[in-house]
Amino acid sequence: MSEPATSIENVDGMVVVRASGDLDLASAPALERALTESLQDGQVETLTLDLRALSFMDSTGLRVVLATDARMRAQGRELFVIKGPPSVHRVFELALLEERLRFVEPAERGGSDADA
Amino acid sequence: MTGFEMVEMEGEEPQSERPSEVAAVQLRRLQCFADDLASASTVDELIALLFARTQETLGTSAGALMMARKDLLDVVASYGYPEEALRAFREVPIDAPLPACEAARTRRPVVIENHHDYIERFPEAIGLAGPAKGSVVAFPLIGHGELLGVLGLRFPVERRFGPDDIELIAGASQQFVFAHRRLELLERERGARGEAELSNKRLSFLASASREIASSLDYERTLATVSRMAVPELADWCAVDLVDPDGTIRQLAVSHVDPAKVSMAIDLRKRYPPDPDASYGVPAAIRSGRSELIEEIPAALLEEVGRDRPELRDLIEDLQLHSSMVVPLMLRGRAIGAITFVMAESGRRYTPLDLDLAEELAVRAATAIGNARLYGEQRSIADTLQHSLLPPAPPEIPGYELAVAYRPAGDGTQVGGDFYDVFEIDGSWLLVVGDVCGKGSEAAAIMAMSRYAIRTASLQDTAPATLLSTLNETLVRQYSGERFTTAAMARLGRGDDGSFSVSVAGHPLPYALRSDGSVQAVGQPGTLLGIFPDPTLHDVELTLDSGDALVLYTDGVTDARRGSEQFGNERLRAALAAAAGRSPDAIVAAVLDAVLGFTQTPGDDIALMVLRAP
Repeated sequence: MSEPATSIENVDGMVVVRASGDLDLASAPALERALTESLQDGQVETLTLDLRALSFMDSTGLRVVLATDARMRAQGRELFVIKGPPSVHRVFELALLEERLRFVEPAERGGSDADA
Repeated sequence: MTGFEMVEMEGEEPQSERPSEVAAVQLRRLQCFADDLASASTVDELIALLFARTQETLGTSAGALMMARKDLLDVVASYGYPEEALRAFREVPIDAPLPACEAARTRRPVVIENHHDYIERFPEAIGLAGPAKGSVVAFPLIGHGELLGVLGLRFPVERRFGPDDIELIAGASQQFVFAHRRLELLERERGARGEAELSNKRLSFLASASREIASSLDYERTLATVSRMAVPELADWCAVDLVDPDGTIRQLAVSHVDPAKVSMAIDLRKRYPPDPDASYGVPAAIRSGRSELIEEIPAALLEEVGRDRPELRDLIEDLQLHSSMVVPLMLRGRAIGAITFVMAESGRRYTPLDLDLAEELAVRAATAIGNARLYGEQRSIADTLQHSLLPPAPPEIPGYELAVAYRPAGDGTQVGGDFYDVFEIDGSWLLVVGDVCGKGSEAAAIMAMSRYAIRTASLQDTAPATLLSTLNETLVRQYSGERFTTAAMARLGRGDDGSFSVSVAGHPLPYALRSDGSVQAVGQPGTLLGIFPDPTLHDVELTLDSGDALVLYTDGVTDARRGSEQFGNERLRAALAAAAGRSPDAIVAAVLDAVLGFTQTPGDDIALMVLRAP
């Protein structure tokens, strides 16, 4: 199991949260905290969650994404998600969430090179 | 001992030598003597050296070292005396009419060169001391102004003692006193060091026993291990007793280095269970909640135990019980058991210090037992709840064969989130496998609600997509879009043609396992339930031919991980293909074997349902 890690980047009011490693029961709380922290700044209108560096995600991770999306919608804010690798994205596909969440290309939000 | 008789006079000492030479020789002898005595590393060794050197340098035929104890002189070591003399003078009152006693009283050397002297000075001693010849010297041993004892020396022939001789013996005695004192201090220090080592041993026992206790929730096994660990360092015997719910005292473990003795103790215990009203031992400690320390087990107590039971008395005698401690295991103010430590054949004795250790161990053990029992309760609550949430046994579907497996993840203290249900409505059968996100009581509530929501909705309509949609509404309403649930549902139609409708909501797609070994995913992905008010759900038709099977499962199967690798759909498909044509039970077993063969700790709950067409 690869170590989960979360990084937050704030460039000109555009907040990008990058999750890496395994997103499961053990690491989901850390991601949830990072997302909550990012949203404390009322100026932040959109948030981008970059899942490209994830190696695994289960329903616990899905719950964090869905809860964040729901909260942001309720506050009139918007969550963008940069797709993870196929095994991670399959979880969204199975839940038929492709049409429910705002999946975006890396170039649109959070820069073309997430590893910069 | 110090009554000596002398005959004949044969004094043949270094009188021919000049005084200075004599002094030099004496000094050299004394130096050797002192060096020798200084080399001793124990008091016993010192005494042995003293005797050897007095024999060699002074030509003594017998010697005795007597130590002062109050108004007595104890012979602690001797050589050259006849047995009967030793027996008669093992212990001499200091006021006895003997040379050694006089030396002790006056703190001055008593020198008797010949028999005549002896009779004159110690007329009463003759009868006491028995026949002896030669000369006798009794030298007081004094250190720091205190009388340590007396050194008695006997010479085989009568001789004269010049000042140099006396000086030599006085010097040797003084060296002995110094060396003795040094060794005594050293031994006391060694004793202290031994005490420190013992204390370290105690602490390390406590540490490792605590680790052992904390390492497992199987406290009965753990306590047995602790009792083994106590032997032989801290006890010759260690036993653990527990109070059963009905109040009887049950011996859980008993340890001794000798397994034969252990079986004897077990047998003894079986034949003679402890008297619950006994005023000592385990029953008393459990009754009173107080520890018991018997530093020296009185013979009367052993007799009380063996009263009216002579064969028991003999056994107890054989055990050589010397010292014991019993500490109760207290849990929430109640004694739930006791640990007993006994010193027997080793002859060691327990002290209040040992009791401190035992009590500390008991506190830790009791805490561990409390935790383990609490955990056991929690686990059984979870089990009960889980069973109340799931159908007791899969029902019989006429003509079809059904098998279900349910394996909660983790330690079983939490209700898992997976659920399943199989029921009949209007001649149709509904099968559902679902997964509530999360665990514990809230997940359990959602599981229960989901099952009943589906059953209730089925009274109106049995189309799976409609049922799941109704469930979604209920979940969104009740849990305001915070908790999601996924599910796969299949309806077996009323006809005998094996036709099914399948709907999937955010859940892994079921598989159709054909009798030829081919495996097909069934259904179309639909929105997970409980989040969105307008889920997209589809019904997909499926027909099972004879021997084909429908496989519903939760993601606990495919998400099972080994390192960063997932069991995945390919392994599942392969396991299914290999089990094609076999009974549902065999298929379920094959899948579980494959998952558990892949990883011992799948990480999530696993639910699996297999239905085979006739």
